[in-house]
Amino acid sequence: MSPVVEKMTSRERVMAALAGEPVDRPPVCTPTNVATVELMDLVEAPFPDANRDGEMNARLAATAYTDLGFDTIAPYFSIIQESSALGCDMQWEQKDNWPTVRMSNPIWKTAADVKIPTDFLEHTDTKTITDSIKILKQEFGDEVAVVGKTMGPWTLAYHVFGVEPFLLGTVDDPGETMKALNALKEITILYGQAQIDAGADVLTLPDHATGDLVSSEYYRRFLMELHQELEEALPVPIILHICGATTDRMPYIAETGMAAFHFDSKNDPVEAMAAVDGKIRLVGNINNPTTLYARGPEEVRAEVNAALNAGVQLIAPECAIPLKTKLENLLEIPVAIEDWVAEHGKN
Amino acid sequence: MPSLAHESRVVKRVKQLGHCIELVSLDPHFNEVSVGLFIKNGVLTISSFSILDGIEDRIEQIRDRCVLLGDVTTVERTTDQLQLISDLYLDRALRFMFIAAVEKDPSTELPSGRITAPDTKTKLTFVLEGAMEDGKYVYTVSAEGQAERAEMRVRAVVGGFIRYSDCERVDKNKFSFPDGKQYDNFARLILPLARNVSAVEAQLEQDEMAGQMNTQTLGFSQS
Repeated sequence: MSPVVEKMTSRERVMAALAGEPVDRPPVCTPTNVATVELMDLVEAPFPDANRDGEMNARLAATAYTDLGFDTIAPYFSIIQESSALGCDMQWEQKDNWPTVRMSNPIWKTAADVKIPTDFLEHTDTKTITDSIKILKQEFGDEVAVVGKTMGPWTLAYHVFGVEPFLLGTVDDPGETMKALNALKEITILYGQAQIDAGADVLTLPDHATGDLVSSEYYRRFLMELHQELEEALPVPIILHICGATTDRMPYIAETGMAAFHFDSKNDPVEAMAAVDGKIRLVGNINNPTTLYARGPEEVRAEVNAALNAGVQLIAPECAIPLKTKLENLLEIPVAIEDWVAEHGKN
Repeated sequence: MPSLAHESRVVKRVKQLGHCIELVSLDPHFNEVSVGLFIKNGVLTISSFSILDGIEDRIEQIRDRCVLLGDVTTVERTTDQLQLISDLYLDRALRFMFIAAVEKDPSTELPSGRITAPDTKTKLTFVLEGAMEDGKYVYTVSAEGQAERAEMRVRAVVGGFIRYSDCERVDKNKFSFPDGKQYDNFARLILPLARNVSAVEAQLEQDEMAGQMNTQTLGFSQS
């Protein structure tokens, strides 16, 4: 029987859930983000500008809390802010699409090339997020959890070396790969710490060692220890995010000491809970391309219930939501959680 | 908790508007704002979360274009609402109607008169003609011009109407809408799509991928 928990603020709820402590209800999280084209219109903060201007960024990010009823605000919408500051070739796209790095045109070839620019934290695209976090903390204080994001070394490696050259390098010269990952890890720490200094309560750490491209053994060999080091270096709860099928590597992820793992709908929540065996909290895993994008509130509610029934501690879309996601589907998530709690009791 | 403790502006709007049938991310003819088509209790509403000056006039313009493109009528004393002309709800047809109303240049005159469309795969021109047959309004597809596979192409057009308007095949070159009634505007709207389903599907798939973040769109996948 869970102890009776008084009504919590959104921030208290999120921090307690990430610490494995009792909560008044499971939080609705946005480890990645919930920006949509309609919300961009509502607050006059369209892409790509909202990725490059702290004030616009904060306006758009805040809608997750003020308009959708989520328990977190996540101002880093994409996965490219650091890579832009490092000098990667960028495609900023327009309002209805994600900015991306042109990975076919990599900027570096070897670990020795990895150099952090002295003005890295002052670059427009890194500063946008730290500025936004400061604005959000000033506006909301301790009411809601502000979730920063710092890209892990594996994802950064895709951006700066290109996906294919980097992955071929893991076979041809694993020692060189480790050197590169260790060098890139410093960027993860630098930018993560800058966001903590700006006021971030939590950090998401995406590191795309996805099931589509690399095996669980690769995760253990190249990343598990690095992720343990990152967890020790960054003094806030960290949510590791990896897209795709990851159940096979969840036992390793559970050993990293991170607060939570944000997992994809390609993984069954019951199997995922069994795989982590209580050693790490899970965040997820409402399907984006089918359920949130193309279906309706009933289907959203069914997935929320499935995650809660499995014991998933924090409920969230599986990844950054499609920019055309219907708001009625996002609004259903917190309502479904409240209804589930009313029926089943507190978590 | 903001929106659960009190209704947020988004919650209020969504409750008013109902279910979103289609959302166009960028209106190319008005400041690239998003515009949606919603349905509640049988009433269709066109709405945008944009707060820009002139948005109401643009919504009225889209609404009026919908009346020309689809078998819908305006709701009296409104500038943003429509209703269906019967109880038949044609989801795909309504979505195509709305997308065309937003994306087509508003200064371009819409086609009227005979319902025709050139084939994209041959030099044929398809013609649709309707008439009452055994108590149902039946549309007959014919092809003008010369092509080796004319009959097959006509059959494909009928298949397109089944796919995009839930129509029923009456004969290899004939179809009717599910309730057997006349919907000339929808027929005119769907004909150019029905003639080349594979291309339309490819376009729809491409549109759906825009704005999605996953391992494929990020380039972190083998497929």
